Amino acid sequence: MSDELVLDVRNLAVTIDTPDGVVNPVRGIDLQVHRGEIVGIMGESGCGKSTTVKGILRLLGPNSHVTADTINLVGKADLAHASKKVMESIRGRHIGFVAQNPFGSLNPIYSIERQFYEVQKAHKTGAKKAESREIALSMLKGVGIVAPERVLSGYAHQLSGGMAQRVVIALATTLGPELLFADEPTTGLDATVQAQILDLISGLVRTENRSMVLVTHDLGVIAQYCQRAVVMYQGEIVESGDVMQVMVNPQHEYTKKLIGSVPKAEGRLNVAR
Amino acid sequence: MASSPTAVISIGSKAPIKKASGPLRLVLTRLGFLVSALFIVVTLSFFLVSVTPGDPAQLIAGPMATAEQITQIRADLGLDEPILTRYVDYLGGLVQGDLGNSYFSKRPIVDELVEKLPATLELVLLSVLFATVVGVAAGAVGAYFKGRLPDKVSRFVTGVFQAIPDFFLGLILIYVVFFLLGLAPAPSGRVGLVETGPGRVTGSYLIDSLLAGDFALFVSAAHHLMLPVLTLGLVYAAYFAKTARSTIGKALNSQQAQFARAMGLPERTVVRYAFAESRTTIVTYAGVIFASLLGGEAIVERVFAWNGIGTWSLQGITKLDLPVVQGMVLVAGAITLIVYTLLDIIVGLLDPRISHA
Repeated sequence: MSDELVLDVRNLAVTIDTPDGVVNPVRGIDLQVHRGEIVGIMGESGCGKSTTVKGILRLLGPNSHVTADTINLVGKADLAHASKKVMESIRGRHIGFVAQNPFGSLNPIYSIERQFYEVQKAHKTGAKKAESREIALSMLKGVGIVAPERVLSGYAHQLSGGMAQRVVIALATTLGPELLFADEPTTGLDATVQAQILDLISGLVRTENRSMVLVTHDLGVIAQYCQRAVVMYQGEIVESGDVMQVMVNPQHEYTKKLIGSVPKAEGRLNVAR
Repeated sequence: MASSPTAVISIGSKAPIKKASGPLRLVLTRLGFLVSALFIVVTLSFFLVSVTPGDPAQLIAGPMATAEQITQIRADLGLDEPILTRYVDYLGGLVQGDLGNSYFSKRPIVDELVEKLPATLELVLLSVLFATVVGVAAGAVGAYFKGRLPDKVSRFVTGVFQAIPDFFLGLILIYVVFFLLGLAPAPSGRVGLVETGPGRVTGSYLIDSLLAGDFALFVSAAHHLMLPVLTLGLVYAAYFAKTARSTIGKALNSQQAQFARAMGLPERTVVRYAFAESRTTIVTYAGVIFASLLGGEAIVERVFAWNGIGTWSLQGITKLDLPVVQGMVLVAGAITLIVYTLLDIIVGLLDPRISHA
């Protein structure tokens, strides 16, 4: 980790027009990500952690508006004021995105190979089909897939959950983005697979000196993989700082409760007795 | 990297074998099903029509006929035989491809079918094609601009056409496009009253007139198809629009579309993905509508004096012309099952998740 800023978000807010009026699910978000750093965003469901990440990438629906003083992807663009075209060129190329439920992410109709090729085509890398195949093969090997040829010519539904998420990670990192957003990347996967996927994704980030924003409600994951933690509650950041500091010495009432709510093996044994 | 996968997945091992033999096996099993299903349908309709009150012989003879005349006609038609004997006779003919003769026209059913079925097929095929293209376009616009002006317009128009019965829309179109505007010919069937159809090759006037090199007749045939196709097409386009709007809309808001956008894929690719995901639904819908329109568009055929199997079977039913009804049941049933089998094959080819195991 260095002091070099990769992403600098100031005063981000999301508003959504609903038939019943305007809602503000996220307000006044400040978020800094440095090179080589993994920042964890934690909080209960509905606190706005996913909305924040999708808001930065402007992946929210047509009824929502994202405002911010700045969303500075350092050296690339200010995403707060970027056109649709610029956003399209940023997504996938400079910011990768991994969501939960890989079967929802992958296209069910097209082969995995085709989906890699679509990415190359979209970003006009000039890679031909054969070249795209080679890149995809090495990406799949890189995420620990043993028989990449077979996976490449197959379809999403033929994969296991863990395999599918590996494919998603390979897709998301295929153009080598400096920054990765992982939105609950292991929700819905087996516990053993969860650890594998988190090891894989954090390893990819560390070896390439990339950065990652990891959204999760799992405090254990934050403690194990992140350097910095951001705690969100009801659409606002209530606390942020070094992960150990937040975990060991929480300042905000909500953070204390959140950490206190983690079930402890010790406590359970006491109850049982 | 810390992880090393422990299991080698076995994908694709069964897929190639399935792809090769799947459709063939499907066709063979469906063929067996087709024969037994048609047998049941034919049997049911035979007895149903036979026990329906009313006497075809009396209808043929007319109100002034004497009892002897009627008896004579019954004997000629074989109606004096016991019902089981007639049934066995009918089945015997059926096996040899003889569907009997119409009680009224005295012509073989097979000849009448060969003459009238292409007229209906041409009309229904073009109508479903029109409905699919127009409906899916309207639905896609609605899905993409959900809640905004294009969607509201699309939904309003869709709602209007869905509410109008097809034969009534036919009458309105005849009045406006033919009578007021003079843009369409009179509803005189497949060609004008003084024209005759082209030499018979395929039975489709459009194709046959072109094959004969008679361009004027082709234009006339196309012109005469315009209003009936528009009538059926617009009404069913409304149904397509509704289906397309919901399926494409769902695909555009799916996590898959979100991930595609997150990968930086342009909006037109995301829309293409959404189309690809909804195409199986739309193709299925087109097949179902096609099958139900065969004969189901009888009233529209009447309105446009279209000499197809719809009008033909309608007359057959009102006159208790048993061989005609049986012929219709057979043809409609066979075509429906063939269409559904084709559908299953096409959908299987379009969607890798579906296998014909």
